[in-house]
Amino acid sequence: MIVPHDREYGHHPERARDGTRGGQSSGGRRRGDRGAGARSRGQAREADGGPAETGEPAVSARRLTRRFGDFTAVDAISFDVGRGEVFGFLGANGAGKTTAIRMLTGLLSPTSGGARVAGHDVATEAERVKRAIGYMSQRFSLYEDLTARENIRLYGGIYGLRDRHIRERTAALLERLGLERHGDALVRSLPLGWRQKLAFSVAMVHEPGIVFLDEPTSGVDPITRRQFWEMIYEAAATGTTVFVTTHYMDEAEYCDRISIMVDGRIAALGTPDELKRSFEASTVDDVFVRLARPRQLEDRPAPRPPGYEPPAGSR
Amino acid sequence: MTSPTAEASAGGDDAVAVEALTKRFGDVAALDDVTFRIHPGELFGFIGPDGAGKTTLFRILTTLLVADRGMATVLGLDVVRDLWTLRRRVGYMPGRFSLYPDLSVRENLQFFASVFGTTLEAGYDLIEPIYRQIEPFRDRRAGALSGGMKQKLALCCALIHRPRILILDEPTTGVDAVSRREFWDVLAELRAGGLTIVVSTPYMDEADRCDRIALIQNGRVLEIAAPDAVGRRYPLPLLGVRARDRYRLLQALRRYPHAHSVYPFGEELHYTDARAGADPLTLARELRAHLRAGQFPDAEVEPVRAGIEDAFMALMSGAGAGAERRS
Repeated sequence: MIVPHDREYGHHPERARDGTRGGQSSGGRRRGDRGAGARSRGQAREADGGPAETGEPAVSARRLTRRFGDFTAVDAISFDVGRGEVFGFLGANGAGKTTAIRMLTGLLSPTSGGARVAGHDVATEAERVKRAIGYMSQRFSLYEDLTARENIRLYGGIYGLRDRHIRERTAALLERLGLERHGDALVRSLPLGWRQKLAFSVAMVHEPGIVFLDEPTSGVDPITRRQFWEMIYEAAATGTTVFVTTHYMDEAEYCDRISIMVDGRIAALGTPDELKRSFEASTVDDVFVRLARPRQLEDRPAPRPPGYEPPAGSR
Repeated sequence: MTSPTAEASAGGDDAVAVEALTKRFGDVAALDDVTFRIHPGELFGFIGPDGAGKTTLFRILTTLLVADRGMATVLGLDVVRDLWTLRRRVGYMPGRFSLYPDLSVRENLQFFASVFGTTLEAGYDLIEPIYRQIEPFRDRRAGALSGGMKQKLALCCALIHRPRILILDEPTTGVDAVSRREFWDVLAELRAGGLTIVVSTPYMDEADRCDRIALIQNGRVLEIAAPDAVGRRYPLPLLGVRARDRYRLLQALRRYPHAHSVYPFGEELHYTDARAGADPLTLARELRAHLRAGQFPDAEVEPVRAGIEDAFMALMSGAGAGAERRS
């Protein structure tokens, strides 16, 4: 599954340099500012010059569809996510989020339609997509029986970074996390909040242009949750696109734009302010409830297939 | 405690009474000297993040785990001495989905009913409002249900033997905002029927649905109060601050000389001023003038009421139990 010589797609020296230049952070994040996505795209164009980095959106889905048997989990969704954007991908359980994310990360092929992520086609270049993105799942992707340092090295190796580069990244990451003194502690022994932040850093070890975070803050205390979002802002400020799902509706307000999936389709897409205005709601939570509630239980007897389980035959 | 009436109300009449409960796993104190009481008919919530000790506490209350020190009674029964009696009277819904995935919805219910020596029919009226919603799928394997449906089935299974108290460990974790509201509506109905309900959750916004809550972190109960009261006890002036550029605003506020803490809160920032007892309105005017004179001409500042999360974060840092502390 890993193609070691395919390094250039996993690691972008241009991006690393640009990140330290801080071109975007000087402008700061434009929270709740309409058009943030468009501006990020413009900035990203200056920033990136790699082969896969030609200024196209970080994610571009066109009628992306996935069916399991006669059940349509994702129904012809189309949307773009700009470079450097914090994009909230919301929806009720079973609305099709997980299936969509699995397609966008190259883990599941679309039934029809398609998407390009980090410059690669998710159907025909799935391996390249996997190497060009970062991914952090609901629960951690860390090995608990390895130390923090070993986890970073492992993932750096998986993504094909050179040893020297891994050493540099490890030192930098541990320092940024304030974990220098605990680099050799087993991950298992670290407090949850640290593990969560380490998992995020590990997902970013190869400096991907886009990182997918699937309920990254589930179950953590309110302070850590907010520290985590500051890491998200920092990543976005250096040009990384952040594609994030959450069940915390206050976190939806922190996104540049959000989409709300209902029954396999994108029922709403816009900045938090735009959605609140168009639904005449005071919070994103209200928007979400209005969209998701009506069809949630009554009209939907068929349970969702758990997305990526083998369809039909297995049950 | 000395008068006979106080004795009666404090002792036998509590739905749950826990005294100095401690449980260690290796050198980690999962529960550290925890004491509280829950009244009959109360909907009582334990609010705290993963690793706070909620599950350990619930496992002790449901006789599945024995504490190192302290004592606990549920429905007046000792959780160690009276475990066999107690088990028949408690409904427990563990955090992990714990039904039989290969049995159908109806088979799961029948199984749990038979374990408790009863039948689906005998317990039907209690579970009916919930069961009606999953009845169309009664022949479906439990493992093939959607998340929300699984949760409802698990609740039915926990209720089928007509327990006198319901103990639910994080029933809404990982559940979307809409299904969470619906689940709490169900709990409110059960509570209205007189059932005592003890529930844990990491979602602070669910606290308002409880009669009283205990904030719990690192094995310690930080505070027990009605949800409203928790916010009212917030010790310092709290202001809501808005401006277009939220991230830069956050950094600017942290540099403000009187800042105690600044956190994002949905679409605004919550700024806590270090000057205890100062008039929030005056502070708000002063801060707004400061921000508008600087880089934030559109800044809006107004006093806000502290919520559960504000209180929780203040208690966390006040107790020296910051997020970074090793457990």
